[in-house]
Amino acid sequence: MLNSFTARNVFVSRVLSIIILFLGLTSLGLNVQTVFAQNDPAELFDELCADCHSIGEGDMKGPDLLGVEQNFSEDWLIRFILSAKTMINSGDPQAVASFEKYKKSNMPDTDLTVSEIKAVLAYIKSFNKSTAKETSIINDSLDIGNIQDIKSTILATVEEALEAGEYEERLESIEKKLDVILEFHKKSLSARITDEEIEKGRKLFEGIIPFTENVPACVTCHNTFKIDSLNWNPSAFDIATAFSQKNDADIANLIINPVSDKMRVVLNGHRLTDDETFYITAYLQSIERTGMKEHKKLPVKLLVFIGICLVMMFSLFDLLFTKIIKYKLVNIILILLTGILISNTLVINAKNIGLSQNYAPDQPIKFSHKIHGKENKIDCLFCHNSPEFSRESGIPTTNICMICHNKIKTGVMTGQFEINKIRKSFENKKPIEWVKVHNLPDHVFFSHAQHVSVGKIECRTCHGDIEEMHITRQYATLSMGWCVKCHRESKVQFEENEFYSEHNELHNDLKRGKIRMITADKIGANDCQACHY
Amino acid sequence: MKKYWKSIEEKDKQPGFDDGEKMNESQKDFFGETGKDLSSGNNVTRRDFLKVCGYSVTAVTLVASCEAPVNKAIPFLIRPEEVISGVANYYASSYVDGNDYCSILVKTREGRPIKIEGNIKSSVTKGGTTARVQASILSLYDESERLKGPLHKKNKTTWEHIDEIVTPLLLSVNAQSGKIVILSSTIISPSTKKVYEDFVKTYPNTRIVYYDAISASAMLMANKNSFGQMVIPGYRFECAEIIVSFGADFLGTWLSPIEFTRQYVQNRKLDGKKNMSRHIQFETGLSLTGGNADERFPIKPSEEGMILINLYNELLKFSGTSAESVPTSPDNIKLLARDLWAARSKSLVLSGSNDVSIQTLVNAINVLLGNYGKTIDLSVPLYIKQGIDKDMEDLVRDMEESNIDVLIINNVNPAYDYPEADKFVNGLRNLKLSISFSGTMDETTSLVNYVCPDNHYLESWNDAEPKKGFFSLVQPAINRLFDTRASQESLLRWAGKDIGFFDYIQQHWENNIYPLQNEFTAKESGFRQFWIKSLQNGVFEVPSAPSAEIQHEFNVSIVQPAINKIVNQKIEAGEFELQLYENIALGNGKQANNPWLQELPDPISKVCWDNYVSISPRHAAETGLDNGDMVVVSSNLERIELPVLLQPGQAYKTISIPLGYGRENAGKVGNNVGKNAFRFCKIKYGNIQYNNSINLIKTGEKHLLALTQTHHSMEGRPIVRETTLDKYIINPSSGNEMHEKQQKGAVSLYNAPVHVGYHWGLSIDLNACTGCGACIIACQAENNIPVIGKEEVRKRRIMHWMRIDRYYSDSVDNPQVYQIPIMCQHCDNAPCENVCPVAATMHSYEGLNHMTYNRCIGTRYCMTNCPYKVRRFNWYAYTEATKFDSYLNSDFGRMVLNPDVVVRSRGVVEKCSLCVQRIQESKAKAKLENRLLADDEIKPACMQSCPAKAITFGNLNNKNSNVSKKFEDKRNYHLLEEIHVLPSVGYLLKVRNQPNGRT
Repeated sequence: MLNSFTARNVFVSRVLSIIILFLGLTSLGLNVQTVFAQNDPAELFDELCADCHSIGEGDMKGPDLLGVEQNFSEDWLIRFILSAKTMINSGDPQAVASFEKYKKSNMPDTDLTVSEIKAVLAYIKSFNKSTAKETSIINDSLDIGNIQDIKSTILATVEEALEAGEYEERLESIEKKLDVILEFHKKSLSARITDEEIEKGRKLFEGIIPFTENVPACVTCHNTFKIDSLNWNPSAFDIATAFSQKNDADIANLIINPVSDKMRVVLNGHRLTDDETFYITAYLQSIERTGMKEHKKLPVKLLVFIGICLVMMFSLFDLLFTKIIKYKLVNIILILLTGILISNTLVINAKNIGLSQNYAPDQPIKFSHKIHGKENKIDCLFCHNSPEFSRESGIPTTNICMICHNKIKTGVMTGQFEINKIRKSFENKKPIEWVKVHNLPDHVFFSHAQHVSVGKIECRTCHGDIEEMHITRQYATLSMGWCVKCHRESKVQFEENEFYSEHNELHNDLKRGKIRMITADKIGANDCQACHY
Repeated sequence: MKKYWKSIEEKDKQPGFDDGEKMNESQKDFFGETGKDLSSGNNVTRRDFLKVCGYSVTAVTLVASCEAPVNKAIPFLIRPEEVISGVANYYASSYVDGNDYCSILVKTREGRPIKIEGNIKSSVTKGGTTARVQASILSLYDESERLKGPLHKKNKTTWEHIDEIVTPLLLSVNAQSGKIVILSSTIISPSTKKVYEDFVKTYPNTRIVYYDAISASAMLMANKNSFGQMVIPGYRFECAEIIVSFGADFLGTWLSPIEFTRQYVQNRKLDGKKNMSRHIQFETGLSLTGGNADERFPIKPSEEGMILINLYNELLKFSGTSAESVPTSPDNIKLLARDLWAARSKSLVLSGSNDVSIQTLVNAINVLLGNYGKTIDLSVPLYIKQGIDKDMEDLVRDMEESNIDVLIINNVNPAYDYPEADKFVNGLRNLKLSISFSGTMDETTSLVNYVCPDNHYLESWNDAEPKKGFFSLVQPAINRLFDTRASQESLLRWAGKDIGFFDYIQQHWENNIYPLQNEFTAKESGFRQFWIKSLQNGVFEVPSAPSAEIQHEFNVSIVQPAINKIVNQKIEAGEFELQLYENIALGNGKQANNPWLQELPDPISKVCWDNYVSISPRHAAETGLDNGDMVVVSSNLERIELPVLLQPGQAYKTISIPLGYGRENAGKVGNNVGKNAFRFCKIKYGNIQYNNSINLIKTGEKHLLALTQTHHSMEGRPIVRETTLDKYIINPSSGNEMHEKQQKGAVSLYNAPVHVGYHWGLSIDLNACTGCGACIIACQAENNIPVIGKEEVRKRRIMHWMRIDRYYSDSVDNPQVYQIPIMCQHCDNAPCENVCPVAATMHSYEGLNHMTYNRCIGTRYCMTNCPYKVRRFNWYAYTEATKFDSYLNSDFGRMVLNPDVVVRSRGVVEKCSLCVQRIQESKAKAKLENRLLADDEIKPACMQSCPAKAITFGNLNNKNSNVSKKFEDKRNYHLLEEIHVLPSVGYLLKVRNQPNGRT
């Protein structure tokens, strides 16, 4: 009981915040309309201020501007924004104080007009109003017990606030949304999700039961099983985990009013009924708990192998006992043939034990080297920034991703979904757990610097055409034979590098033409402890 | 040829000697004994083995067709600017632990410290380290014993809570003029001293007591009486032609061993020189320093005073003054006095005694010899030991009489190491408040109300001034692993100062140390530049003008009373005279929980994992004692049981016991290893005396000691070569005739080895090597070498890649000692390579003998065929051991592993690689920078850690390299060169300065 009560309160406050955000936006619209027509202050803010300031999201390089109008006079603010440096140099105590506080970072002078500044200030101020209102309403409403009562109270407040009739359409849409949300909430409160509902959700998701409004089944874009090929759309599990931190109402809302363009196009104005939304959500929640299922693949290779074995055994048996096939030669040829096949399979498999060429594991983010490296022409070393001087090439840290993805928020193939993961990692301060593709055993020491900087070997020599890969794949076998072979064949930068100037015998041999070129193995690259120590 | 021996049994029974224990070993049921699995504890029989074999073959086939395990690659969220994955960073810092000081570089990889190197920029330590400094990194990761946060009566609490309670309590005690005492180890940090001062300012009733477990109180007092300065002078061993030491183990443990070793070997190395210093040692037990002496005289502790009086008298005669009337001197003292007098102002007389009278006499002798201002420098005193035993005695009395209200304990453990620990423990109960800053729950800390754990030194900011004008900084190399707080920060907070200790140090440096230099003078940025430079260098040394030697007035009037006191000293009744000493590995026992140190064999006795009673073999024979016999050692008050070790060179009718063992609250490694001998120290003549009179009673039981050198016999081959200085001056290759013969007559069936570009070689100067063992621990830290525990050591399975073999010659009563560091000799005709059935050990293009662990199948043929016995076999997977807890089987302990060296698995042979990872790293660096490799660029771990700089490494193909020059030296020889395996490791034979022959 207690739980449901608190849950209800949380719910109420959420509903309120939706409305209030809406309110804030509309009131802002009003302000802007009446005061200015030149430039949208929100855009101005984003363009000029947002790099260093936020409104209500905490300090960045510069201070959080929420409520700035209460601490400083408008006149002072305008002067400061026009030229902070002049103010600081003139020794204005407030200016100097804030300059000191924010690590002496200079705010650049602006060439805005006074009216534009006023507009921006008004824009900042508008945030403050909404927050103030939000808290007051929530506080007021906390005493109200019944949801229906809340609804009417809210509506009354909204009506009061809006006054004019031109907003009625919007009001209606709010009402509709509220209805959906309340409905959904009631459901999840009144009844625990049953297995049948999950099952129904699964069927809806997989298209076994069609949606009422002719919406294509989710499974056409979102996998429910793990697959090998590339699907740019997030899998059901991905969606479920992404949703896991949101509450049911938000999820339902997202399904009905998708943020991504792609979803909007697919839905094409159609929408899911409330029940359908509920089932889908229920299914997603269950998937988040249980994880994705593996496709049960037929072990074709094994079956073929067993088949061959059977054929061999049959021919043997036939040759010795049943003698169905008249010509013994046929049997003998069959035995020989299958024998060769079997031993061949065994040898090949044995050779590949421990090797994992073409290993292409699932990554936590659908990162494509093709898009980054080929289409956007980003140099390998921009992200992998240490192969020139370290043994490791360096898996890019999240802040490197954020250099670009601070601005680029929508991907060509994946929309916002995958890029959001990077942003989330950055915000939650949790590094991305990539899956290692190239795994060398512990007892092998490999240095990128030695090969990239000293040996002047290109990345592609070992990694293949990585810029053609959507899914990163291990190109080489990475077997010892492969290493050693390359060492025997590749020419060392022998005369170019000053390091080798003391290798007198080899220089003499080169001069006398005794050897054509110095390969890596001639200077000890194939010694055991060149790599194993 | 001289007869060399490594143990008494061998000396007596040669030839064809049988090690009794060895016989036993071979008679043991081999499978029954060794089949015990360390990791599972089950007996593995042959059948089980076959079953496992069959199963694993099947399993491998099945598994191979499955997918490989998924490995994660988790990058930083935001990479710190200076951290590059795969590249090591070095931070200059200092190892400061009470009485130990060393300027160091901390090697960190991906943010965790993994190795300690000496800091070459410090002119005190010049890049040298000791075993304890090297091992201190492991105590950082001692997760099971380090305290995780503040405690109140052993319950977890918060720092806020502690501060809320302690500050008002201190204030109220102070208001009622109650007594507050800070009981602290010697503090060489000027900033910490200032913190103490600030604390005293807030609480004026505070008294600060400095206490050292191994005290030099008598020296301080004697110098106060003699010169009016309560200091320990600086020494200049490099200026001394004759060094006479009375029980001062200055190469091992006495005061500042790293500095003294460096100075000492300067005059012992013979690089092109024809002279060296002469070192005479009078001592009871055979110490590391005694082993290095040219002449050594075993004496009883009680005889020291009389010998010094005689020496003083003889010197007085030389100086023309009338001698005091004392018993007549033996002849050799007269000779010694003559030599000392001849080397006036170029000699040095030292004593390790903690008796003021003796130290006064030593001062008088040095004054007579004019050594002050020449080999002894009072103007640059050492601050390493500041404890005055009298203060501690007073404190304990006051505590017993309930005169103390608050006791704050910093970095000392009197409940373990104070001679009258019981009184101290009783006194603790009379306190209103007791606080300890100890980072572990040691004996004292477990008795106090509040524990405020200090950071490990690798997590702290601090500074140090080990010697006047030689400043040094400590900077953290890792974030705090646990919820600990710097002790200084706690004190500052309680004193009402709202300042972090880092800012505090900076302030102190800006106000007091910055003005001492004139390199940086810019008004605004000057200090910042100075600070950054000092931090980067790790040290700041006051540029001292070659000061005119200040003549210190010596108070002659105190000498006669001192002599009288010594003469009148009565020897207490007791069968034996007992000498207590610090050993190289454990020192005063603070690092007893460090498995590396516990497994480091004593440089002389070669025993690890135990302390023992050293007894002279002559006396043992008389009393029927043998190695491993348990005896009860008893004085009037104390008695402990310890095993006996027959120690050649031990003075007749004396015994020696190492301190630092028998900890009860050290932790899982150090608890109850050996017995606590601090109980036998006594407070006499106002100071703690590290000798006593005791009785020995044989109990009849046997104890098995873990010796590391019974299984390293070289079977009477000419391993040790030596000469005397006189002979060397006449013929530089004296003692090394065999080498020339070998060089000339060598014929080989093998092709001459060819080395492309580089041929790595290592040369060890046996005249410089003291045998201190820093290299062993450095090697262990660098190469991820496991610790195996006492039982395994007893089975001769010790894993150290390098060992220091010790040989004796001459008489059992007073032998000469030889130390030879031995690692893989990297033979060009390596016998191990020929016998490996799987080619797991191969010769490289650069002359190294490569060992490939992943190829090794563990036949151990190579071990059998190695003439030097330097190969080690992994009998168990030590990383997974559950039975024996070393550092490798815990997640924290594994943080110390060097990621550039693979951790070997079970069933694999390993050995010294000459730090191939460092060779490869330096080569790669040179290639990257497009330049030749510099001669001294590559330093194997052993070479880098050596305080004596006895090891040289380099390219033998380059005839101008240092190592080639050493190989050309007439003293150079190779071990077992007669078998023509052509080792790449050379030794410069030992030269002793014995002008009169052996006395």
